[in-house]
Amino acid sequence: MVDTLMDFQDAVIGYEADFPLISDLNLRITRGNHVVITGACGVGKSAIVKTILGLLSHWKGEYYAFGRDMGHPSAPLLSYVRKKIGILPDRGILLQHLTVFQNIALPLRYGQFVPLEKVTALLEPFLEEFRLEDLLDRYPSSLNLDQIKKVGFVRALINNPDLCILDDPFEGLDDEGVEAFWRRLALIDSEKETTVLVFTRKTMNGKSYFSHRYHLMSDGLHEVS
Amino acid sequence: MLTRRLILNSFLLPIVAAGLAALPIISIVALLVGAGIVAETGIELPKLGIQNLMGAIVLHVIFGIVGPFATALIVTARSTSGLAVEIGNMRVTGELDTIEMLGVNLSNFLVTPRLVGIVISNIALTFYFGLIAMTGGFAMALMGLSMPIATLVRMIETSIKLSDLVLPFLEGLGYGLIISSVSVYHGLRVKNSPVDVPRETTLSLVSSLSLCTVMLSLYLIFSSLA
Repeated sequence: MVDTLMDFQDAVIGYEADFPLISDLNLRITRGNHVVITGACGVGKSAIVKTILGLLSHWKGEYYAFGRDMGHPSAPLLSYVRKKIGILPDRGILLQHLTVFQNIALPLRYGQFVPLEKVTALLEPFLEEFRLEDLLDRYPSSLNLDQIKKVGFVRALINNPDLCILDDPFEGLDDEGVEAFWRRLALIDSEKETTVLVFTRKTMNGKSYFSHRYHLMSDGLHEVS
Repeated sequence: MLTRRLILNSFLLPIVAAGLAALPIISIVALLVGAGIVAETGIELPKLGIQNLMGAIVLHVIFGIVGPFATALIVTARSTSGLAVEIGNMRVTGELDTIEMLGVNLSNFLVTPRLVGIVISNIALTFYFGLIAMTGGFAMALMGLSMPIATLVRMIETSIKLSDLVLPFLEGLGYGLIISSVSVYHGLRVKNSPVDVPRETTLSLVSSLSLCTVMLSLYLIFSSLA
């Protein structure tokens, strides 16, 4: 089992080579050590997420995911890496033409071809915890942002990924939703199966299980004590 | 491996969406076109003394030329813009990126089912158009030309060939490929701005119509040479 999940070494990240958002990214994420990265809007948090998942290339430096060089990743390598990661994108982002259940089942059914019965069984523990019982047959257009975020969170976690990336998870959540997220994150920490990487605009104090805290600026990450 | 139910879910819905929804407008257009073609041939061919070719001409025009092209125009009008807008909006809202980030193959999940769905729908609608147009033709023969239906049926029976069925299939396939690939291509060309969506939608309609017209012209030229 690989203990280093992600490893960026002097990586230059951005949407265009001439205009890098982050000029010198050094970040190692090891199994079981949850990480929080804070940063203002537009500083490149979502660009790091997209680079981790292979939607953006890093322009310079090195990037390894689960021990594999992501310099010029092949389609099978991208698929391998993405299946090991659960992602809650910024704004949740559900597919509008699918119901809540189909959205949650999407990565399992179409990414890993898990049978429907197993998807239903995996979903069961989340239903009450995130109050999803009455939402399963509804479409995203009828949900509020709090519900969308919860559905996206469950979608990210349903298959016990090695790494769970949460991009601005608390934006749009009501107090009850925030509490539900924290309860689940505490459970994840106790189970030691999934490592969590949180990107957020707000500082998150008082949660000791995030062993590494960074503040993202354009010249790279700065560790926060 | 993909399960059978997954394949059915992925592929059947776009086929139904693109095909069934177009039936009313296809039916109306086909009835009118079929009636018009039979009226024209029924009146003009006797003047030229070649009324015995009426069955062959009606079959060729309906199944070989007008049917596939008119079907392609209707499917273009209905599906091209719809598909380009759907995929374009998915790009703008981040859904396409999300699909990929979730480890789902964009081609298998989104693109291929829609390509195959439109192609199959277009082929099926082409034959449907032909059958309804023939119905319109029979109605015109009976009511407008006072021609016994049995006469028209006999003319068609004696002139029908295998190519009358193969050609509409091939044309439906060709037009379907043009319509679906152009729609998907322009949908995927949308960047992150909402203003890209109407521009690419218009371009997809224009490109699809132009390419279908080019295909019709090439077919007419090469079939007349053959």
